[in-house]
Amino acid sequence: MRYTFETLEKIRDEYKERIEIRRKRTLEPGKKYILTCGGTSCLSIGGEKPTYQLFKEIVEKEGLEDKVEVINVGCMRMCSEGPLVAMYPGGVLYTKVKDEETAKQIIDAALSENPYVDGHHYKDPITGEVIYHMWDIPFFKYQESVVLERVGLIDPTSIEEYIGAGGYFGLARALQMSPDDVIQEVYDSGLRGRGGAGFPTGLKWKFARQAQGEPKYVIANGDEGDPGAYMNRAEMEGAPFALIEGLTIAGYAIGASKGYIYTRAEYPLAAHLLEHAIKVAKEKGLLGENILGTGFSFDIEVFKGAGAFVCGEETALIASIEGKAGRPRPRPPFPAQKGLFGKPTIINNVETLINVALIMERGSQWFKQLGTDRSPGTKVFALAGSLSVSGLAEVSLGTPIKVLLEDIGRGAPEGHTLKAVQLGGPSGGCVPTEHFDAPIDYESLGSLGAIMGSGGVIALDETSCMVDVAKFFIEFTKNESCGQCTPCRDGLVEMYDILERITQGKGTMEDLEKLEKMAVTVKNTSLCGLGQTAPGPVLSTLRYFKDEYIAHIEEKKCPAKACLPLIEYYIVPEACKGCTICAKNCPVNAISGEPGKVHVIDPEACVKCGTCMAVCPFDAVVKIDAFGKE
Amino acid sequence: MPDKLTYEEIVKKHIERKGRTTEVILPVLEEIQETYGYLPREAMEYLADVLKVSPAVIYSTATFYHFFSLEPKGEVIIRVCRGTACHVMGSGIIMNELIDELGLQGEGTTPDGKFTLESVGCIGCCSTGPNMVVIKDGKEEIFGYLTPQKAREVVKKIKEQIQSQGVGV
Repeated sequence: MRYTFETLEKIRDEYKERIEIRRKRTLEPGKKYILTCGGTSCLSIGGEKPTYQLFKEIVEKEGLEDKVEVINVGCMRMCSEGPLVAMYPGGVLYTKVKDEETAKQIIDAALSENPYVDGHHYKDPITGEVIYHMWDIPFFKYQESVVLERVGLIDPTSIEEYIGAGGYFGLARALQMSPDDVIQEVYDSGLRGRGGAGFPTGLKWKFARQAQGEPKYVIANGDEGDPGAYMNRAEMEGAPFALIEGLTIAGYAIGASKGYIYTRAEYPLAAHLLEHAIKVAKEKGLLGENILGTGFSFDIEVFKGAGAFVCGEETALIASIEGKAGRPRPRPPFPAQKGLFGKPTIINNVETLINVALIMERGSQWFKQLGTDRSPGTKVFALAGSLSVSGLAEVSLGTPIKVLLEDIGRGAPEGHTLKAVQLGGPSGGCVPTEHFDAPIDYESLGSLGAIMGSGGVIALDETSCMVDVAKFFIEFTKNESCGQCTPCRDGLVEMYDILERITQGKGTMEDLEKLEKMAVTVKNTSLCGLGQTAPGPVLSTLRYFKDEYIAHIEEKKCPAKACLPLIEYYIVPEACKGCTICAKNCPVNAISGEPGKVHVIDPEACVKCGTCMAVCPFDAVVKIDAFGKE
Repeated sequence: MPDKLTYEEIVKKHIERKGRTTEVILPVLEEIQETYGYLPREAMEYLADVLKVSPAVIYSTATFYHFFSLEPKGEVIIRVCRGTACHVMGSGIIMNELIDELGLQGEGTTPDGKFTLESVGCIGCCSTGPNMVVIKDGKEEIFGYLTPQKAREVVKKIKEQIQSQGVGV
């Protein structure tokens, strides 16, 4: 059946209650809804069977369909505690649900007066308090739910649930306005591109609308290649219809009849769910010919990349769809004038387009209430690295960095101390603790030498070497450089060689000068964003952590004890009990010692894999400086 | 293998859907890679011929992207995530452990053609790293919260599976 404006409202009313129950934060008698997280992270740390299947099988086997409904939803955000399961009404959150036994206990508990299951709830790493209800957990309490509102709430395969949660009313409203008014509404909202650069979305659309040339194209950029960022994947997997709605609005606004969603080959689940959603939306007349009976026709195709980071750059992405190697070209002309097949094309980030759908549904004034004047709205960040709790966090722009790290992420795990945060991936930079009060917005992060980028947040503690982190990113961008322009192709290799020397204790102070000079040259002279931003990790670590570089060069020491050529593993004789566990586990038989007697590592034979340190029950294995050891 | 499409059929399928456009190049190469485990030279030449472009065009695309390989890959592909979060959580040690377990010198394919070990750009499971992806029989499985021991066990288990399957054939 094809939907009309009227049927859209009817479906919303029909499904509204089902959705509203999943927003209820207090326990109520009656039917229970069990939401299982179907995000890739939860699947990766789950048991033999996906969580959804575990619950579904029990409910069917025991004939509980009338009392319990199991719904597989998208990412529920707190990935480090997964696999996650939530029970509504009430929002009781169960953590680490991996086996049938636990699933059974949860179903029994959910149907009783006391819906809690020992050992499967969040325990706050700072206060030690066990918190049962999702929205009382600090990780969620300090977040906004705008872009991720429907992710983790609805079944991503159900268009009815999406409509019940307010979906498709943005498109419905847009189609009753003129394209110019739609562009004006987006422009007035102040929305800026969420892919990192922060260009005003409304302005980009204006250029494309005015550009000459037919047909025009719109592309959703889901080529989320930044290591450490996975919000776009969660958005595409958790609410694929939201992206399709946003992209359709973009098509209507600029006068395009064809759209692409470009996603990564590494995200097979996202591509599968998007293809399903496209098929359903077409059947319902929300995509394809004559959408909602308005005469507007628009089609979307999912295009899978083939593993090239540079294709996140818009001109490289276009080349990739055209079947070519993904090499960027100089701009101007910008894709809004000459894009795919030489036609006017806009490329927006996935999260930008989801915001568009919400802005059209709720209005630009609503959107401007969130965030700051210059950076309105929210942004989803991926928290990872040395944090007690990690996963996806959505906050208003302008929120201080420390809210993300301390209030939401609950700081470094016990025994560790944060020393910096890496923001914005390979294009970004490292910000030290003294700047954790800084607000997260495009301008503030830029002045600190980092960027908002796509939203990757990697917390680094005392065990992370800043020179090694810089080397890691340069190795990445060096490998991902398309090789077209000299500064990026050769400059990054040169920078990498210097960093390699420094981390081996073979660097000189002249190397350091050369590194800085090279970084500035690559930044200023590269053709595209990849090369222009690649030196960011080096420049920011030189700015804040130059002492670490100097320690590697002058003392041949890695202060974090992370650079393998500069360290040795050593067994502290006073602590060793002679239990032989390290010797048994050493893959190269580099440890000698009799049972009950002190063991010794042969530094010549040792490959520094760290296994002995990991298995020693007495913490007798330590890392020491290889040079100037006592 | 049952109902495996030939490269001619794959090319035909995509051309029928999209027309004779270079837009089919990436999807076609992806499907050939998935089906054959690599891109045979004659398949690339066939595609060039059908699209009336120089084989160099296809070759240029085929050699640019990480997912394409001009040589056959192993039956089981193991991809260790090289994302930032996995790196700081110790993915380098996982990689070394697997190189050792598979008896390789570095990334690559084992001489018996059973395993290919490679690194992969971030797979987006950053909170549960270090991670690796195992692709076997067309199915992809992600393993999170890896330790060197856990990674080794996963590979050992696959080796056992292959052996027991091998007896039946």
